[in-house]
Amino acid sequence: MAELCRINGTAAAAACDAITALINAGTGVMICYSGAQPATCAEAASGSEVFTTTAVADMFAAASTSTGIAALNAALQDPHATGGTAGYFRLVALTGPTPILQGTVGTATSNLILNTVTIGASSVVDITALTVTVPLTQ
Amino acid sequence: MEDGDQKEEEQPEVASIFPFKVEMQGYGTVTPPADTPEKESDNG
Repeated sequence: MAELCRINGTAAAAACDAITALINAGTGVMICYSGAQPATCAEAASGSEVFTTTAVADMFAAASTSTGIAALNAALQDPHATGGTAGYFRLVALTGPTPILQGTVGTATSNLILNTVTIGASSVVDITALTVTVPLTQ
Repeated sequence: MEDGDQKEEEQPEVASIFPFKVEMQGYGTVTPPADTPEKESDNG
């Protein structure tokens, strides 16, 4: 059985940057759907689209070499949400065929924490912070 | 030759030593659309 290991900050940052570069390479969006997230990013999206943020270039800044954490370069926003009950989200590079990352949405203990998951049509959704981390303790 | 064969068999296990872990955490707010004007004038 494989055992966990530790990596240094430079290596963690390099690994994190390799992931976010896939999103930064093309204009990136966050698409939120209703329902439970698919088992893998390779699977087709399930549920209905709830909101999609405006596409941005260079969504993520370079990861910190001391923490392995990459943060958004700027907040994301959907100024006119479709609406629905948010369940999970995907980060997609519009130039790529598949989502790069996906995670859960909730009001607590989720990858994306919102003040509410019940999103009315035409609501404004602001993603004020989002980090991708390759932990130094693997 | 046998040594070479053994090394090839070990490769999958070497790869599995590094269970890559990625974490993601974000925060956001949802602001309902501005209320449509009440139809107060309907009574006036």
